[in-house]
Amino acid sequence: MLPKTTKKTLPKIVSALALCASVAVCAGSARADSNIAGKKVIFVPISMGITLTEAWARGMKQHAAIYGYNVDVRDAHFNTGAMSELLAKAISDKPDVLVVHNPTVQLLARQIKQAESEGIKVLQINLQSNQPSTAFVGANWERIGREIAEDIVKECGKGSGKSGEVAIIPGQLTAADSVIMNEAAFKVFAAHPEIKVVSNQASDWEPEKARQITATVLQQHPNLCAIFGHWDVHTMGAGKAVKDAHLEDKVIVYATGGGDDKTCQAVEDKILDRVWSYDADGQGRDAGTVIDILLQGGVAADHTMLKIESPMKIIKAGPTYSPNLCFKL
Amino acid sequence: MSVQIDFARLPRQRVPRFVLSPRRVLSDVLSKGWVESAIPFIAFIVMVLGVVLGTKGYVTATNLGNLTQYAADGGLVVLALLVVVAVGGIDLSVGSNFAMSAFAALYAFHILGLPVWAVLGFSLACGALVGVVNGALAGLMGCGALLTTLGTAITVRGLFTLASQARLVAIASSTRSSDLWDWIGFEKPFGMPVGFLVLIAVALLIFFMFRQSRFGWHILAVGGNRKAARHGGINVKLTVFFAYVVAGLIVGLAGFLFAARQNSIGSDTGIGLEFFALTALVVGLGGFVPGRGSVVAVLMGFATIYVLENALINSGFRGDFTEFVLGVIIILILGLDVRFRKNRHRLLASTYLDPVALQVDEINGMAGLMPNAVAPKLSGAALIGSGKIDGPEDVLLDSNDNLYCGTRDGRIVCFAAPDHSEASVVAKIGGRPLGLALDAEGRIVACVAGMGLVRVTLQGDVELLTDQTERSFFSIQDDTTIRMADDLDIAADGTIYFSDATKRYDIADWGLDLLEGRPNGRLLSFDPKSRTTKTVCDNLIFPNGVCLTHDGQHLLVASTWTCSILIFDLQNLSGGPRVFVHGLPGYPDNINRASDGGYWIALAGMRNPVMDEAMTMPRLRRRMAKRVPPTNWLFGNLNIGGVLKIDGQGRICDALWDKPDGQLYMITSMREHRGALYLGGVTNNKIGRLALDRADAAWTGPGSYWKKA
Amino acid sequence: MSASTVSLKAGRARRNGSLLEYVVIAVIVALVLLFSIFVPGFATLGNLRVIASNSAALVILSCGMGMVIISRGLDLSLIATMVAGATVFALASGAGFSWPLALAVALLAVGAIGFINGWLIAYVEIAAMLATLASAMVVTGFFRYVVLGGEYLLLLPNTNPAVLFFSGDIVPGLSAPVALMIVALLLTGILLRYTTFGRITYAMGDNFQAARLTGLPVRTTTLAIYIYAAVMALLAGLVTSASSGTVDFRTVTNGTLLFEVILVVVLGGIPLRGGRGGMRNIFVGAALIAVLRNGMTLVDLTTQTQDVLKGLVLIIAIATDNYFNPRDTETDTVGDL
Repeated sequence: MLPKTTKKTLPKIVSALALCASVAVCAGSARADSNIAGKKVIFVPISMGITLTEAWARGMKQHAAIYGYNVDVRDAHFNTGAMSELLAKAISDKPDVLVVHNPTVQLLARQIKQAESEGIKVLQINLQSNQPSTAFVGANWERIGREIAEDIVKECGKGSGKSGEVAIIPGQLTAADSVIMNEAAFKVFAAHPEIKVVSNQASDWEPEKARQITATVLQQHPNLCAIFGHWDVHTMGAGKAVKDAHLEDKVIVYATGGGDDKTCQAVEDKILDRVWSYDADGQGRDAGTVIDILLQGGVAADHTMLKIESPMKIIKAGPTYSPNLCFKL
Repeated sequence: MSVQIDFARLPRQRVPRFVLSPRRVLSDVLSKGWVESAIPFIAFIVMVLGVVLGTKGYVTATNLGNLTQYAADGGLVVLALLVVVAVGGIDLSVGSNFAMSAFAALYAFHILGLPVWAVLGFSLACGALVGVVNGALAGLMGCGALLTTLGTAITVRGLFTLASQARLVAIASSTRSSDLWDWIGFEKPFGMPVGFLVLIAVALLIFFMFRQSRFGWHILAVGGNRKAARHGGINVKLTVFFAYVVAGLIVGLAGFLFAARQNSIGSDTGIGLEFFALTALVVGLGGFVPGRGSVVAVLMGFATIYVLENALINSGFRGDFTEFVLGVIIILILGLDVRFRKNRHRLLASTYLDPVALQVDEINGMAGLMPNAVAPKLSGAALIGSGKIDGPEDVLLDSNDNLYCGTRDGRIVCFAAPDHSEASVVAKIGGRPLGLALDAEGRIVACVAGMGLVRVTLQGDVELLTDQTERSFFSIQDDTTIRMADDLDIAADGTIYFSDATKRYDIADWGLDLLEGRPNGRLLSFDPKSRTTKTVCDNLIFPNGVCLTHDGQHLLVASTWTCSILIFDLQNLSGGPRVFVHGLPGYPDNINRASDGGYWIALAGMRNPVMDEAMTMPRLRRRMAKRVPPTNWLFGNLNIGGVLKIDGQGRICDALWDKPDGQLYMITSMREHRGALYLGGVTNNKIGRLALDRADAAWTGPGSYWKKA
Repeated sequence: MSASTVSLKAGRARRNGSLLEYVVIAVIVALVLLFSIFVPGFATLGNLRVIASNSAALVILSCGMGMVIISRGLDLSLIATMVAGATVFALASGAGFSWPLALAVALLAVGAIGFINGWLIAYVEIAAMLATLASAMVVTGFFRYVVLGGEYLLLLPNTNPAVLFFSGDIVPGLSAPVALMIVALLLTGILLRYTTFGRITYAMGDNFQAARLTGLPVRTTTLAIYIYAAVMALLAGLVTSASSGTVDFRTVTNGTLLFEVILVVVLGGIPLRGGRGGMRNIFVGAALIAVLRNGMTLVDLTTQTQDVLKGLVLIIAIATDNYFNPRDTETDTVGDL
C-alpha cells in the first residue's frame, strides 16, 4: 500500500501529506465538515511490525485522512521500559488524543492519569489499564477465555468420548491477556473435573518454542484432545507439531488473534482449527471512530469511560468457514 | 683585573614570546591523556548537533526533563558495568538484577508495606546479593566472568518471572501510596528529577572513588594487570569480589528508582538492558578496556546512544530502522576508535618532530685557529680515571683540589687530591647528573636531567631543590616539569641560574632537538631562601652552559644549535639576552671562567657546511627523520673535541684541539684549576688534564666565586 | 602391561583434556536413567525422535558457534543471521525461484553477513564480542526494515517445496533436520580435525599472537570461520522455519536461543578461551540440554522453572570445571572473560 511504503522513508509531515493526498485522490471522498483538521493524535504501540498494530494504525490513519488531523506513531519496539518514556514525551507534546497500547494493567497507569489530568484524552486500546481514562477500544479477554474453555468442555468433556486432556500454551504467564484468559478458562474447567490440563507452558510468543513444547507433550499424551494457544501466531507452531505427528484430525487447536489472512490460511491448512478473532481491522476502525468522536468533543454522558468492546468473529473449519472472515493488510 | 662588559652595545637576541606551529599543536594534543576519548567525544558532539539541527520540537525544556527522568536508571546500570569492566570482568546479569531489584522494591512497598527507606534498603540488598553471588564465583573462585554472569542472568531472570507471576496481581491491585515514594518517582527538586540527581551523585562518587580512594585505585590496578597488582600487595580476589558487589548495589539502586517511577514491572523489564549498557559503555570507552575508570567518557557514550535512539523514535522512525541505524553508527564509532587508538602513537611519532629553518651565522674570529691550522694541544693531556667512570658531563674541583664529576649511572664521583687516581662515590642521585657547581658552603649543586636541581653535601646527603617551574602561558602540554636541567651557576646572592635545555625531548633524544632547531629550552632561576623557581627566559634555543661573568653582573648562556653565546644582565633580566659571541666553529656546551678574566668554552661537536645547510631546510630534516635510519642521519661532527678560550670581551683568543683520533672527543666541560685545565666529555669514560703554560697557578674556581665574599 | 599403559594414557588424557566433559556425560546418563524410571513416555523411540528433531537447529547452531569459540572468538549475531538467512530463502522461494537457486541466494546473503563479521574482527580489529553485538543489530534492523517492510514474522506456505523437504523424512525414520544435524556435526568434526583450516583454527585459539607471528593466515581464516558460522546459522534457520512454518525475528530480540547455544558449547567442554574441544564436545553439550529440556517439559515444569534450573546447571558446571581446571587468571589477557 502506498502510504505505508512512503512513510518509511520520508519525514513525518511529508508522509502525512502524501497520505492525505493519496487517499483523497484514490477515494475521492469529500472531507467531512468539521473543525478538527490539524489536531494531533499520538499512538504509542508496544511495537509496530505485527498485524495487530499495523491494522490499528491503518484504521486510525484512514480516519485522520478524512478529517485532516495527524496521527503520529511512536514505536516502542517491544521495550516497555522505553514505552513509558515515549509516553512521557508524547504527553509533553500535548496532543489532543493519546492512544495507548497497554502491555500490562499497571505499567502505564500513572502516566495515563497524568495525561488525563493535563487535559489530554487517552484512548486505551486492546487492554485496559487499572487506571480508567476517557475511552477504551478492545477485546474482552475474560469472555474469550471463557468461551474457548466452554467450547473445549463441549468437545472434550463428558459424553464426547475423548480423553479430556488439554494443553494450554500462553504467551507469557505474566502477560496481562494471558493471565485473564487463563483465569477465565480455569474457572470453567474447575466445574468440569473430567477436563485435565496436562501442560501450561509459556512459549514466549514464539512459534518454534510452541512447536517444541507441543511435540514433547504429544509424546506423553498421544490422546490429547485440545490445545488452547493464547495467540494465533505462536499457536501455528503448535499446530505444525500436531500435523507432524499426524494427529490433526484428533487434536483440536484453539487460538485467538487479530484475524488476518494468515490465520485463515492456517485454518485452511488444518494447522489451526478454531480461532476466536477480535478482528484487528475492525478495532482499527473502531479506534478511528472513537478518535473522531473524542476530537469533536464527545464524551460519555456521565464522564465515565467510553467503552467499545470488539465483537468476536469465530473462524472455524467446516461449513461456516469463509476466507472473508479475515482481513488482509 | 676583570674587563667591563659594555652590555648596551651588544646586539639584541630576539626571543619569541611563544611558538605557534600547527604540527606541534597536533602532536601536543595527541600526547594528552584525554585524547583517548576523542572519538567518543566527537561522536557525542556530532550526535548533539544532529539532534539539535535535525529535529523539530525535540530539544525543549520539558523533553530534556523527560530525558533526564527516564535516563537515570540506564545511566546507573552503565556505571555499574563500568566498575566491573574496570576490574577486568563483565556483568551480563545487570538486566535481570535490575528487574529483580525493581520487583523487590515493589514487593517491599506494596505487599510488606515497609516505609520507603526500608524499601530502598530491600532493593539495595537484593542487588547486592546478586553481586555477592557473581563476586564469589567470578572473584573469589576465579570462574570466567562472562559465563558466570550469564548463568546468574538466566537464573535470576527465571526467579524474577516466577516471583512476579506469583505477586503481580497483588502488586497491581495494591492501592498503597506514599508521598515520599511519589516524590522519588516524579518530583523535580532544583529543576531536575530525583533520579537524575541520584545519577549525578553516584557518578561523582565513582569518579572520586577511581581518583582518590584506595579501593578505586586497587580496582584499576587489578584491571590493568592482575599479576602486577598481586605483586604490589593488593588482594586481587577480594577487590574483584567487592567490585561486583558495588556494581550490584548500584543496579539495586537503579531498580529502586525504576520501581518508584513506574510503580509496576512488566515481564520484559530489564531484558536487553545488559546489551544496551554494554554498547553504551563500549562506545564511551572506545572498546573493552579494563583498568580505565573514565566516568565522564562512559556517560558521554551512554548519552550518545540513548539520545540518538530516543530522538529517532520520537521523530517517528520505526523501531527496525532505528535499530539498523544504531547498529551502523556503533560499528562506525568502534571502528574509528580502534583505528585511532592503534594509529595514535604512530601519528604522534610522525608529527612530534617539528623542524624549522635555522640560519646559523658564518664562522668568524677563527682565523688561524681552526684544527687544520694549529697543532692539537690536547694531545698532550694526561688522562684521569680512565675506564672507572662513564660519561662525566661536567667536572668540578673544590678548594682542596678534589675532583668531582657526575656519571651516566646517576652518581657523583670524587677523585681525591692530590693524585686523582682513586674514584669514590660521593652520592647516588639517580637520573643523569650534568652540570655541577659549588655553592658558598662548599656543597655541590647538580643539574640532573630527568630530575631537576639537586644539592649534594660532600658527606653524601642528597636534597632535591626543585623539579618544577611556572607553567608557560601558551602551551598545550603541561611544561612545569624541568625535563633536561643542563648546567648552572650560582650568583653571589645565592640565586642559582640554570638551563633547561629542551622541554620536548628526554636526554636520550637530545639529537632530535638539533633536527628540530626550535627554541625549546629556557633559563630558570632558583632562590634558595624562598625556595622558589622562576622562568627567567623562555624559548631559548638549546640553552646549555651557564656561567656568571667575572664582575658578577652578567650571565653567559651557551645557545648550542645557534653556535653562539648569549649574555643576560642580572640587573635587568626581563630585558632579554644579547649576543656575546656568535659564529662559533662548533656547538658550545659548558662555559667556565678562566684565570685571566676570559672564559673557556667547551665544543661538544663541530659544525659542518652540510649540516649548516640542512638547518635551513626543515622539510629535508623531517623527511630524513622519517625515512632514514638514525645512524645515517646528517649531524654535526662529534668525533673531535675542542675547547675555545675567549677574552673578557668575547673575542676568541685560543683554541685547543685534540688529534682526530685523540682520546678526548666530544668535550662538554672544562675547569681551570691551579694552572691546569680539566676536561670532561658526556660520552667519554675519562677526564683529561692539561697543564696550561701561562696561567695563574694559584687560581681556583671556588676562589674566584666565593673568596671575595 | 597393556592394561597399565591404557590406564596411564587415560590418566594423562584426563589431566590434559577437559574433565567437565566426563562429568557432563555422567550427568546425562544419570538424567536419562532418572527420567526413564520416573517419567512415563520418556524412554520411547518416538520421544527419542522428538529429542533429536527438537535439538537439530540447536546442534547446527552450536557447530558454527563451536568453531568460532575454538578460534577464541564469539558470534553474538548468530541468531540474527539465522533468521535473516531463513527470510531470504523464504522470500526467494516465494518469489518463484527454484529451491536450489533460492538456497544459493540465501547462501550468498549469509555469506556476506559472515564476511562482514570476519572483516570487522580481522581487519578493522574490533573485538569479536562487540563487532557481532553491533552487527546483530544491523542485520536485524536491515532485514526487517528493507526486506520485510517492518514485519516481525514471515509465514511460510505449506506448499513450499523446501518446507516440505526440510520438515519431511529423507529416508523413512530419518527426518531432514536430524540428517542435517548429523551432516553438520560430521562436517565440523572433519574440518577441525583433518584439515589445515582446522589446525589453524586451533592455533589461533591457543595463542593468537603466536599463530599470527608464525605467519599463519589468521585474517583469512577468521573470515572463513565467521562465514562458516553464518552458513551453519542458515542451515539452522531453514530447519527451524520449515518445522514451525514461520520465520520469526523475535527469536533474536529475546536472546534465549543465543544463550542456549553458548550453554551447549561451554557445557560440552569447549572453554571460551578457545583452542580446545571438538565435535564430540558439541554433541555432549547438546545432549545434556536436549535431555534436560525434554524431561522438564514432560514433567510439565513451567518455562520459568526450566530457565532457573538451566541457569543453576550452568553455574554448577562452571564451578565444577573451575575446581577441576583452575584458571590462572593472572596469565589471562584482556578479553579473556
